[in-house]
Order: sequence, then structure tokens, then C-alpha cells
Amino acid sequence: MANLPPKIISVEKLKLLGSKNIGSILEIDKLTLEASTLTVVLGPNGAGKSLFLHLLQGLILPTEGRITFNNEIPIKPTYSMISIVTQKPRFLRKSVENNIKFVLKLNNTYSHKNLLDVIERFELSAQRELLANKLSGGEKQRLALALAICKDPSILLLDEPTASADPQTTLMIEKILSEESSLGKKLILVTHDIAQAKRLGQDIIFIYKGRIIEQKTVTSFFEKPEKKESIQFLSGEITL
Amino acid sequence: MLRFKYPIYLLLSFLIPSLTFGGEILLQSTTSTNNSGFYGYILPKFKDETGLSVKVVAVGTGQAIKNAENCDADILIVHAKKAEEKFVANGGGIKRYDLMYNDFVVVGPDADPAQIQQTKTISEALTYISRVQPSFISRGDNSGTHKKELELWGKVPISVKEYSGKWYKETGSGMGTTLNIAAELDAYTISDRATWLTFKNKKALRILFEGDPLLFNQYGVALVNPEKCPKTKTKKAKKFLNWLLSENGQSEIENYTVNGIQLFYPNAIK
Amino acid sequence: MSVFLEAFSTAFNLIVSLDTSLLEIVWLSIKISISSLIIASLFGFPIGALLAMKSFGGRALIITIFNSMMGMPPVVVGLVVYLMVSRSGPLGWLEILYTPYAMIIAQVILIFPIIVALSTQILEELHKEYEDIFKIFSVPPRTAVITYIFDSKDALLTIFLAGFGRAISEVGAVIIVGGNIDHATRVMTTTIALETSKGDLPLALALGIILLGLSLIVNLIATKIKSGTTGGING
Repeated sequence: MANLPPKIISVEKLKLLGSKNIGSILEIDKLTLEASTLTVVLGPNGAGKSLFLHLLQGLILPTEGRITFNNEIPIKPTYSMISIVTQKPRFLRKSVENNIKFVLKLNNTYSHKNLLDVIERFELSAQRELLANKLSGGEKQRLALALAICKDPSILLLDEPTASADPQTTLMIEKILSEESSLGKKLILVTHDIAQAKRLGQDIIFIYKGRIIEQKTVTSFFEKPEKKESIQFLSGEITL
Repeated sequence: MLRFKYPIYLLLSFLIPSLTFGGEILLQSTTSTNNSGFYGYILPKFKDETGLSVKVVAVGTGQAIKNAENCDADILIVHAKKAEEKFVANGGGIKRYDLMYNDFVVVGPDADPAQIQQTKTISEALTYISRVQPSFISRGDNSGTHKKELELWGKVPISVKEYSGKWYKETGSGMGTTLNIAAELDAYTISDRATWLTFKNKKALRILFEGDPLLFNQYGVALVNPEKCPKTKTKKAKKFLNWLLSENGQSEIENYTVNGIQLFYPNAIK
Repeated sequence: MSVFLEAFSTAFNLIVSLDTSLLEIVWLSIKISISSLIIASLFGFPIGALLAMKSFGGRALIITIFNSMMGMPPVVVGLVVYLMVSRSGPLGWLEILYTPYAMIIAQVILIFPIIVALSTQILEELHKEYEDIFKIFSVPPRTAVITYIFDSKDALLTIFLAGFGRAISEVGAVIIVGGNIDHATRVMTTTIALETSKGDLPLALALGIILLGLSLIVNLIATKIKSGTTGGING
């Protein structure tokens, strides 16, 4: 199962309860995603976007319901065909180079050439000897993306991958995301940057207060939002 | 992984030779005999004659007797006759023998504020101290010396217990530690002669009173009772006991000197 | 002041003359402390790792207990071990009282909580950092364990040093269970206590200086190991 790239991701009757009876913090009755597009997840802070990605990766497990890939439940907790770039990426206490080497070796794709290719592609040559945890915000996001891609996943989850990047890095990351998308990978991108959503996204999921309000193509979402929360969000009445 | 080889080797090299350990006679002894180097002199002589080795644990008399009562000894050499007799009577030991003696001395600061140098008897000397009330350091550890000291204070019309923590200070420590404290505080104390002679941190302390027959310090020896403690090496320990009490052993005790001064006087009754 | 000068010259003389009884004492101290350290680590690290990475009922209580046991007075440990291994105690049949074994047992009890508590702290922090990475990249358990050890090796070395320092410097426990027997259980600290009680303060201090020098050498070696490995990390 894990070897075949999934075509469809489905979520059914998913419920995640928060601690201390605050009710469900994320509830998705039914959601189907085509596994070939770049999906952008939009929504204000605290809407549950990050939780949604963590659930897809299997880092947290739902209280109820299930997530399937091609109608199959993946083996927990490590979904080998998915990888994630979290908001605050964590690294091994090793150099940039050794972090990449570690993941390549795990993936059985390590060679010196591959290592150099990755370093070059993510423009980390100058940082290669530095400790990963000592990098700047933008450098960390580049490295996190590099590691996620080294795993060679068919689904790539991205939680605000350009949040702390400068314009140049943002451009570079976006270029890589487009490349990965065009290779047939499924990308699910959480972002606060509406312009970025428009540039990269093919379809949109709008989450508000732990519920999916709308799921549409990018064009129709931005041009003809239907629900009042979406309209308020786009007009800036619901702040980010 | 190579890095871990050495500590493991160390551990093994340590454990293996130690497995052959355990044939020695275990002696619980008062510190004065050990610290004065007495055993360092006498045990090799015993070993030469018999081939047997003795391990010495040196603690205060009270502690030594307690350890022997717990069967953690084969033989006991201490200096508190009453306690030794009680130990035997309670079944801890077989029989107690006189081994040797020396005496206790009263030491104090050179200036002698209590003027005990003028006194003729120990009770007079302690009476002077109780009047002037300079610092007096007591062992306070239930040792042979401590028991002796309390016995001597019994001849004075005051109760030192009432002054505990004031001028009468109980250290609860060995003779050496007590002498260190006395030297530091310019205080009086009572010591056995052997420890005093070999003690190196005298500072202003010196002997201010000696020679009263009441200051007699008798050392006794007793075997631990194998009926109570089946694991004792009674046969070997008995050889040691007999040797100590023999003419040979007694004359070796007599021969032991520190800086030309004899420390112990043999007085075993044949 | 003269005591200090005398102590330094005594220490110097003892070292340059390679005094055999001193060597015997130093060697025994090292052997006992390293043996205790190895045994305590063998049990302490896995337990520390377990406490750091697994959550179960009573975990916080156990950690608190180990933390407070770090400050256990050595004499109390010595007394308890003495009562256990005394010929009249429950483990009297082992006949190890007044042998290096009893001293090792006492030291293991003393440093085991240090190893557990400190390794729990260090591995807990590392685990927080690594937990998600290991999940995301499907790291096999074997690789995970090796990575944990490798990436915390500096901190683990510090724990070793803390344990070794406690073991080699304590006197209260080993003097009770070892008995400070010449040529059998006499170690550096008990010799220092003995010489102090004999009033030979310069000799006692000289031994203290040698003990300090020994700690210094051990720490220098540890620092050397640290700086020697950080250069060539291989994930």
C-alpha cells in the first residue's frame, strides 16, 4: 500500500477532542482530496490548519473517524509516503550536511553526489558545516523542506514553509514547490499569504473554528466565495 | 566501541584477583592501637611465625564491640574492661584476657589556665578544671577513652552533662579528631598515651597531668563466640590470641617503640 | 600557611618518588570508582531513557524520588549497606563486608540516582526535539537508539564525570563498609580521614591535592574525548 502513490485522500467523520472538555477542536465530516493537485489550506489563526496536517501525517491520532489513502488506513505512526514541514522544524543536533545525510541514508538514497545535489538545490552550501539548530529562520525552512523532500514522499505537507523567509528565499521555496508539484506529488500547503495561495494553489480548503467551511478551486474561491465566513475572511473582517 | 574496552578490562582485572580474597583473620580494634602503628609492627611478626594474615578495622571501642556483636569480627582488641566483660557475658565473646596496658594523660594548652599541673590526683585536676571551666573536649562517642573519662568525672562533685555544649564539649569523634579540636580551641582533653605520642598536630597542647594510678589503661582481647557467630574463623583467630598472650607475642609488644618510647606494656596472665 | 607549603612539598615528594603504598591506594580508588560507575551506568542509563521517553502512571513521582536521592548522605548509604552485608545481616552469607565489593555496592547506590536523574533530564530534552523527526522519517528503533546516544554523548560524558566525581570523593560510605583496612580497602578519601585523625594535616592535605589532580586528569581526558569527536560526526 505504502509503495503505491495514493490517488485519493479521504477523511470520514473525523473528530479530534481537545483536553478538558473544551469540545472538538477539529471536526471533518467528509473530505476527499485528489492526490495530484496542490491544495492550499486557508483560515485564521487557531482554526485547526496545523492540526489537520499533523493528523494527515499521523503525528497525532484522531479521537474518532479515519483518514484513508486509496481507501486504505495507513500503518501508524509513520506514514512512509508522506512527509511534513512543520512550522517550527526540528533537526538533529548535527551539521546541515549530516542532517541531510541521515535522511538520505534512512531512505537508502545516500551517495555523495545526491548529497551535493540536495545542498546545491536548496542553496545550503555556505551553511553545510553549521549546526542545523543554529541556522536562521529562512535557512531552517530551506533545510526542513530539503529533508522532507529527501524522504521522497508522494504527499508533502507544508505548514507555512515561507513564514520566516525573506523574499528571495520565498521565491526559491515556491519554485521548488512548483517543481515538486509538477513531478506529480500531492502538496498540501498551509499559508497565511493570500497572494501565495493564488500563485501556487489549484484548490482551496477554507477552515474556520475547526470546521471545513468551503472546498473549491482557487479561482472560484477567490472570485465567488459562497459562505459568509469565507467572504468575511477575504474582506479582512476575520483577522489572520 | 573500542573506547569501552578499557573500562571493561579494568572491571574484570579488578574483580578476578579479588575472588581469592577472604582467608584473613578479622580484627575489630580500637583506633589507638592501629593509629600508633602497633599493628603495622606486630602483625608481620605474627605472619612470619604462622603464615596467617590479620585485617584490622579500627574504630572506637564502643563501635568495635557493636560490630563484633553483629559477628563482623573474629577477634576483638579494645580498652574498656567492663564493656568487654558485658560483651562476653552476653554471649558475644568466649573469654576476655588482659593483653597489655599503658595510661591516659590529660593534655591541655601550655598556659594551663586551670593550673592542673600543681595537682596531685586526677580528681583534684578535674575539680580544678570544673572550677575554672576552660574548654574541655570530650570524645562523647562511647569509646573506651570516653568511658574512662566519664568514670573519672564521677569523682568530681559536679555533673559535666549540665555543661555540655558550654565549656564541656562532646565531639562524638575519634581521639585524633578530638585532639585536633582541642589543639584548635586551646582546650583540655584526656587521651590515651599511644595516640597522643603519635599525634602530629599538637600545636600548643602538651601533657599537663599524668601518673595517677586511676589513669591506668588496660587493653583486653577476646574471641568472638562461634556459637553465636558460626561464620567466625575461630581456629585461626585462636592462634592469633594464643600468640598475643604467649611469651613471644608479649615480648614483641614490649619491643614496640615510637621515637624510642615504649607504647604498650604487656601484662597477660599466663 | 606553612601547612599548605608542607602539603604541596609532601604531595610532590609522594608523586615523584612513586610511593608504592600511595600508588596502591590511588589504584584501588580508581578501580572501585570506575567499577561502580560502570555498574551504575549499566542500570542507570536504560532506566533514565525509559523515564525520559515513556509516559506512565507514577513517572513524575519516580523522577522526584531519584532527584531527591541524588543528595543522599553517604554515611546513611554506608550504614544501610553495612546492615545488609554484615555477617548478621540478610546478605551476610555473601561475606563481602570489609571488601572492595561492599564499597562498590555502596558507591553504586550513591551514584545510581545521579545517573538516572541526569540522564532522564538530558534524554527528555533530546526526546522532545527528536520525537517528531523520528516519526516523520520512520527511523527504525536501532538507529533511533544509536542517534540518541551519539547526539547526547557530550552530556552523557558529563554525567559520567559527575558520577565518577561523587564516587571517588566520598568517604562516609566506604569507610563504614570498607573498614579502611590497610592493603585491602584503604582508598584515598579514607586515608585522608585517617591521616587527619592522626593529626598529620600536611600529609592529609597532600593526599587531597593528589585526589584533586586525579580528578583534573580525568576531566582533561573527558574534554579531550569531547573535542576529539565533535569534529567528525557521522549521522
